[in-house]
Amino acid sequence: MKNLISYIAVIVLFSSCEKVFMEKELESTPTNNFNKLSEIIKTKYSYLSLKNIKWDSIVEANEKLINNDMSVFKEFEVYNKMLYTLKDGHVNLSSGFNYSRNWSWYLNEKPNFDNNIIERNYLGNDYEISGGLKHTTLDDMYAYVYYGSFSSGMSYIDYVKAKYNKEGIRGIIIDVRNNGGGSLKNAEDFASHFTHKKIIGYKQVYKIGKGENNFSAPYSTYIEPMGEEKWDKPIIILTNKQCYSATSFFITMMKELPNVTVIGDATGGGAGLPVDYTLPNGWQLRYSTTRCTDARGVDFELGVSPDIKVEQIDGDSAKGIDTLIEIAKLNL
Amino acid sequence: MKYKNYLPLLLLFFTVTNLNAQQVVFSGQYLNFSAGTKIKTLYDNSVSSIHNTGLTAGTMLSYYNNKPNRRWWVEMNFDGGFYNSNYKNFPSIEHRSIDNIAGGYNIGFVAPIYKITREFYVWGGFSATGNYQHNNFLSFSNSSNNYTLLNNIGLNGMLHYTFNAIDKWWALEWHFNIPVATYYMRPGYSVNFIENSIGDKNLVSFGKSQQFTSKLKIVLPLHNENKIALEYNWDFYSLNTLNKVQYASHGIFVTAQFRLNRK
Repeated sequence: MKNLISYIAVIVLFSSCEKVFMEKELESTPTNNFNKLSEIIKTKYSYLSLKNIKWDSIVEANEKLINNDMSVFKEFEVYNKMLYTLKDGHVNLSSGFNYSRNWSWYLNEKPNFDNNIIERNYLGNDYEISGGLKHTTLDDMYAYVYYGSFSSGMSYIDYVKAKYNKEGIRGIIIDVRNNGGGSLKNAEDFASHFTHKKIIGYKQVYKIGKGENNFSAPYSTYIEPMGEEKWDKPIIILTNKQCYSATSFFITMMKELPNVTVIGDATGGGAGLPVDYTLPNGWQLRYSTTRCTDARGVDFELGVSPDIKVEQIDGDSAKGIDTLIEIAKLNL
Repeated sequence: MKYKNYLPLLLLFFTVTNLNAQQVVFSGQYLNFSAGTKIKTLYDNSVSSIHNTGLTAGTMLSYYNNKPNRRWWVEMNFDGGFYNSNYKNFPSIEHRSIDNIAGGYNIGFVAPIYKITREFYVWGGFSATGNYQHNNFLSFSNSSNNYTLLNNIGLNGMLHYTFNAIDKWWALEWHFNIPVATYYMRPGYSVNFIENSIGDKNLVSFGKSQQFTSKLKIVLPLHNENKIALEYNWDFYSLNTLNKVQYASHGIFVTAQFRLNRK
């Protein structure tokens, strides 16, 4: 019996020894946090070479600001400044008490959009709201659809197409100004509703190793006809700098279609798909890890250019007129 | 990996499996239903530099075919629950941080290979095991879904001790499993999008993939040749490929064993 107890003791001992094998948890210190954040950006962020960012120099310059006695607020500020240099709306650090970001891609630019003018003078009182789509007829000749977020549903687009096909309008204005993105699937589906054949929507490469240019071969994403209702009439898409992420993808895909004209300002970009990482202190780092191009290989991280560049005229704003919509009408 | 290195082990095994070790009272075919709970620890360097611990509830369904000198079985298991983070410096984060769904299978065979005493035998054999862990990181966006799939073939061992108490035969069993070859599937280097075929998948040996499965079980006889068992399970795996992932769990299960071929 004594032997049996010894056997069991050995068994239980060996049954619970994962602490010997498990990777030791990094201690939550500013030094460890700094090293981890620096390493993740250096080895996994996808745009260092495209934006010509010397990350090692940035790390070196900030390393001396880090010590284990500093406050969390000062620590956060160091990382905030480091990440700001990446000029990427998909790079953020969330600490709970603050959220680091670089939104200069639209804050330093003309807005070219006033929601009050759209709602009061174009959509009016009796527009329809179909999922995330607000739509109406302008001047009995043009369909106008405002889509403010790709996080909102777009499944009623078939209904919208059918409605305006029946009304015999000249064309459709799809307004995605101030649409900061959302679900890429919604962007792909929305674009698929306007294509008549299967075409390449965009191409994507993934980081597969630590080197700055260590990427996979390009993967193509296709859009193909979707929905029961066909759309043959002209399409005008209105854009501004605040179009970002999934919205840039949507415009990139739509520009492949022959009946599409993009009017407005270049988008803010945001072509890298972001992922998250938890630092040793629990702060959450978000960073881009892919690179995307249009079907011809043009990277749109820094924005998608319009076919016709148009800016809102200050005098029009005073009169309650949206310059871009008026130009769009002239082009339909 | 040179799999032929394991051939001598196979031959050795088949030359020593002529022992009749198991008490006759434990022979027979059994359908087993288990229910219990696990405490899990997760370290996944693709998404985090910290450990997460959690509690899951689980079930197992298995079939055992016991003979005095052979045992083989098929087992399926499923569990689900939540991980909490060990955040020390981030009070605003939600307490529940990861949803976990897991499942697996185990198909195995053992035979007695060494006699310690008349009641105490060492068994050895082989098994194929599968383990799938799906974690949903609630505060993440695109990379919220993360997964690990492991399919192994490996060596199985069992220490089996039978004893008589209260006029009945009881059994104490310790099973352990050590895979020698593993086919794994994981997200890619920095991309966790499950829908993209960019994942990391390969066949690796013990150097890159370590896994231990251990099950300590006491079997109590009931009426009608049915049994009830109390089990303590310990699982651990470590896969060190593009991003290191490690997992450990401690589980307590109660198993009802129903005799199928009752005399």
